[in-house]
Amino acid sequence: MEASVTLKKVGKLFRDKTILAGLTFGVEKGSIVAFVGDNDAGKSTLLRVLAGLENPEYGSVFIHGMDIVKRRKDIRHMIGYIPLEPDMDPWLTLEQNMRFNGLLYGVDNSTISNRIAEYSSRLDLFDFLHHPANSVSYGNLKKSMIVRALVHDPTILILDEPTAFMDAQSSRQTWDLLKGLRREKTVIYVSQKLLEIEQAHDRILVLNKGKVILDGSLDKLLESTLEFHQFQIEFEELPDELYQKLSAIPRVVTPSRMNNIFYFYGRSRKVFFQVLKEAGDTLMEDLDIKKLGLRDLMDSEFARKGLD
Amino acid sequence: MIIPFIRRRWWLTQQRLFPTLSFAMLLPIMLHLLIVVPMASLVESPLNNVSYEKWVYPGLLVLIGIISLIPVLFRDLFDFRIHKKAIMYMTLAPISKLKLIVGILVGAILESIIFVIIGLLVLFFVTGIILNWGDYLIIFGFIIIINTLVGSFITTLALLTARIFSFIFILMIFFCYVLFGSGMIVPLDYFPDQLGVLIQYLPLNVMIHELKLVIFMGVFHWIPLSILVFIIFSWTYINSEIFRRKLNQ
Repeated sequence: MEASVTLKKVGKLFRDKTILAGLTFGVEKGSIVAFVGDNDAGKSTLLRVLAGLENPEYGSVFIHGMDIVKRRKDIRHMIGYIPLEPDMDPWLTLEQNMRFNGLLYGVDNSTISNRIAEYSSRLDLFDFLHHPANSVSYGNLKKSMIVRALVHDPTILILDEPTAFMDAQSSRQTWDLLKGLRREKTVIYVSQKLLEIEQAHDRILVLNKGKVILDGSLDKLLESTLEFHQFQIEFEELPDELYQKLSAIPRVVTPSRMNNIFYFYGRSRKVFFQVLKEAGDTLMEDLDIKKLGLRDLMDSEFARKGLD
Repeated sequence: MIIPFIRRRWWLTQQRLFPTLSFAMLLPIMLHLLIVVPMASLVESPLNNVSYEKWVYPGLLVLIGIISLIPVLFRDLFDFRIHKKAIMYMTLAPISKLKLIVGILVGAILESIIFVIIGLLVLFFVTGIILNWGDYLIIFGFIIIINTLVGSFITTLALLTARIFSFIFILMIFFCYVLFGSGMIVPLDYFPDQLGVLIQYLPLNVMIHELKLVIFMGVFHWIPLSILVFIIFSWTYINSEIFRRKLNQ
């Protein structure tokens, strides 16, 4: 497939700290790509570099084959960026904010009106269009920022937490819109809402300390975890000695506890029975076994140690 | 590419029409009552056949223009930049930083011209002073150049400072200079000779001096004006470079 965005050894520093460490990857045209990672992993910085808000210290970013630094003006038309925090002019209405942006991109008035009407109705924003930005909730501001970014019809949409501050219905509308844009536009986003990512993704890139540590579809990423399960045993009382004893069982992976609940990962159910055997006569109140999801994969323990 | 910025300023004014109009009408009255009236009993006009009130009148209009320029540039280039609001998004548009700076500056100057027109009408009712049409045209021409000069200074200040205290502190010093050292309100004759000679070559002083020469003596010098226009163009370009570097774009 044709590449929409290509990064070649892109690096970004902040004083002595490395924010992005020589990133190299491509994003296919018309796909939805999610970046996930811990806080401070460099996700938002990466989006700002892709949007052209900041230049990388080294390496190159290409948008549809054009260097983002050398052909900045040509590339601006192709990108729509939605930052995390609302950044609209608080004294202008939502509609005026969107229209001003369209005018800056050289879009004619009637086209701007049509696009505002189309996307606002899909995001249920119509009633708020003539309200000043400072009198609208953050959720609606976030939705209007999406409309604002779409007014000049970009081919690449870059979103920092697309559904931040939104209620369930708004999140659903936003995802319906974004999924509807698939194929027509490339959607690149950062989110901490892993359930949304599991439902919406084409491809997921896991960032850690400015590097891509995992890259692929959710199924591919979870491939290595297929045999793994998360076990959870709630004891009536879980003394420290018992916790230490259970944690020391060889095939118990990344054990943890919360009050009297003992959590661990294991490749087979055999290890679960082994834990039950070691627990002996200690009274248990509840048991739970579940297959691993993206959240488990993102667990910092796993990111460091891996599953094996 | 300037039109979107002018429309934006118009929308902003519409959103705050009543406070804006109140400010525009109160400002000339306050300036007249608090500056011109007391100064008239302390300061003499440097021109024999012109009263102090009439001598200070063009300067008062320039002052209204400068004061109305400050909040616009502060909001767009300092407040929004520091708080990563609208201006950051504007920088993503396919226009150069020079056009962006010029767009904001032109919008602010046009708004300040409207303030000056309202001020002119209010001052007519307060003082009864009226000049002929030609003089008003000259005053407006000078106000555009002076506002571009002062606007460039405020732009540089807004782009280079990162803390509100620094911005306001420097602006207050500048404002003291505009009020007392630019020849707008207090004639330079009141300064010690050496200091007077020194400050008369400051760009704003040159402009105010030339403005009063044209209005009251009918003398017009092209050379200092051309040099200042060149300075303004260069300064605007330098501001766009400062902006680009600040943003690392």
